[in-house]
Amino acid sequence: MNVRRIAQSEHVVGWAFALPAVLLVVTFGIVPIVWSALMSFQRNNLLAPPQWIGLENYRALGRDPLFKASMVHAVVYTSLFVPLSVGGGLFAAIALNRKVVGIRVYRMAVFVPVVISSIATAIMFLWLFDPTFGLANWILGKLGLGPFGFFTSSDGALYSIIAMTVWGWIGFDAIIYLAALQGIPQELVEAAAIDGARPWGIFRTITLPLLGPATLFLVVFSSINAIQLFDEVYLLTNGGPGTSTYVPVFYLYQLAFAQGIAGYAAAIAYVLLVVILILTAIQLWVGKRLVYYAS
Amino acid sequence: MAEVVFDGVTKVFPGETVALDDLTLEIADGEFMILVGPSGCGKTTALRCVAGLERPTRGTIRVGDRVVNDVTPRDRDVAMVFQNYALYPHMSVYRNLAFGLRQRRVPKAEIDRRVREISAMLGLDDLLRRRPAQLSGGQRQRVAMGRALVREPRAFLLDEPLSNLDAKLRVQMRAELKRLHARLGITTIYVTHDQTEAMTLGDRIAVMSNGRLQQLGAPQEVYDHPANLFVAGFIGSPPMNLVRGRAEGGRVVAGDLTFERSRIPDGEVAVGIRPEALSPSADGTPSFEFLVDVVEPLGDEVVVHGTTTGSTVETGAEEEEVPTQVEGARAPITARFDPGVRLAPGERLRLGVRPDRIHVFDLRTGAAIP
Ligand SMILES: Nc1ncnc2c1ncn2[C@@H]1O[C@H](COP(=O)(O)OP(=O)(O)O)[C@@H](O)[C@H]1O
Ligand SMILES: [Mg+2]
Repeated sequence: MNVRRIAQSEHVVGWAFALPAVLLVVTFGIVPIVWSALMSFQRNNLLAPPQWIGLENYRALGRDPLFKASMVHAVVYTSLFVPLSVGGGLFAAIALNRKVVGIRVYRMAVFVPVVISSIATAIMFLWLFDPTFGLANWILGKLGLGPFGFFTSSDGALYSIIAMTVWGWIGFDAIIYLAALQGIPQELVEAAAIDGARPWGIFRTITLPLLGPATLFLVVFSSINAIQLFDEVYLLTNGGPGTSTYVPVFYLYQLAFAQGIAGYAAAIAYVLLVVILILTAIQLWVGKRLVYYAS
Repeated sequence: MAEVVFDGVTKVFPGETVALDDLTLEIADGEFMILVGPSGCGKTTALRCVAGLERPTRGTIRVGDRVVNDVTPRDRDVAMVFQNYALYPHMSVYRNLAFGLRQRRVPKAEIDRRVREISAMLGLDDLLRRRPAQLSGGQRQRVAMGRALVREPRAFLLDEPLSNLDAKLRVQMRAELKRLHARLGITTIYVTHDQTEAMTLGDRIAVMSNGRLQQLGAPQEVYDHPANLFVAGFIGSPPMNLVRGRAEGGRVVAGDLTFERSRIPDGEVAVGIRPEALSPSADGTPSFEFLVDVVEPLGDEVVVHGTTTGSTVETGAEEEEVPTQVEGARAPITARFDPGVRLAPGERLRLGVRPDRIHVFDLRTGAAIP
């Protein structure tokens, strides 16, 4: 009896300690999740009293060409951004994983874009990709190419955003890979060299497999990141030219906060959540079969 | 298979560490050569130079009739067993064994035949599908060996391969290594700092210190006739007893011990006596007083530690600084007797030694005086 009372009192104290964190999670995590779930079944403009319409929002999504276009853009963006940033990060990490004079400076240079705010990056790329005065067109002009419209061209805007975000994220991927590379025992590489492997063979059979956990993490992380693309579109193209850079999160933002169609926007958010869950599950399932984890 | 030759090999690491200092050493085709010496004396560096993982600063390395200084590890066709085995953790035992053959584009059927042959030879048949993490230390060791042997390399390099095994397994593997070498006859360079491995395994041993070759010879020869103080202190366990002394007119005096040695030049000397050369009775032979300190009965023999008059000699081979519990000007002495000899701590007696079993070294140069 006595023992139980002590246990119970410890219980109370424990919850008391955890309470601030619990409140934060509930207020800013659980409440919005549940609330937006409810909203997705409503006609809701955040002002007037909501009206329950069941699955109507979800049905409407299937008939919405702009939603479809946003999803297509997201697929194009994700399927280019993920391999380019992860592959680029690996390449950069290998280049940076050596002992040469000034290596710290090089490593810093690669990582700096990660810590620069996306606004600063966006402004820089606006200058760089300016159709008339930009450095990019000047260089391409010297090579007899262009001029290109970049962010102002409906064919090129999405790819210009990809170029920019890949540049911004390579440093992050490179740091993760660099840490993973330094965790690979040098002896394994030496043993493989003695066993007769050429540099490419060592990379393929030793380095790459042992980087598996890092690669899986980066692919999952970058994919989630890519599907949620918003900042750059908002800052640089505002979805344009036309709707050529509309992506789901940007579209739902437009719907909810510019046009006040919050119920419909919430349905998009939930579709996106399901897409992310399914994609992540597939990646982890494949990863489990391909990736070797130490110990 | 091939001979391996170091010709004046010097390796200087950045920071002026001289890991190998003008090493010249010929390992004959099919020979089992032991490189032995204390930690940091350059043994691993020597192996890595042969494997192509380090490039000598000066000198040449030959494998067979080819100077390999500028040859890649792949094209040297030597195999190496690393101290921690360096098994590929993400591959099964089978794939570990097959790795070298696959990299060399050996046909699949041939790879399979050779992997099965070597795994049968090393008792790995049942483990082929496991990952290295699922193996015991001894099994990993076998896989590492198998991976090296399956390629039928021209030379076989082993870097302290048994040092991570427990004592019992080490004895077993030692015998197995010897059997394997007898069977395959591959030129082998075996690095160790272990006395017993050095004495039992090799055709010849090369004793190294500070990157320099100290003595080269058959194990027994090195044991019986150490060329200098370092070798005397390093080879043998427990090590040789060494007492400072003086030679004058064909007569050597060291502490309480006096003996004749013809044609010995006058000067400061170190007198060395192996523990097993001492006897607890001094019937007519030269002798010295001995104060028993610790008695260790080992069953087949008894090891007695104690002291005698005089001062000891540092050889540079001491594994680590164990403060010797010697008060005043007394030198530590260790003796090995038959188990029948009963002694107690505090007992005093005279230990005898036959003059022909006493080693004398020049104290200044360290060189043995015949
Ligand atoms: N890569 C390296 N860089 C600098 N010094 C090294 C390197 N490898 C070995 N050494 C030094 O060279 C000496 C010999 O080392 P090593 O060959 O590993 O000795 P052993 O195997 O006999 O213990 C040591 O003093 C060691 O510190
Ligand atoms: Mg070593």
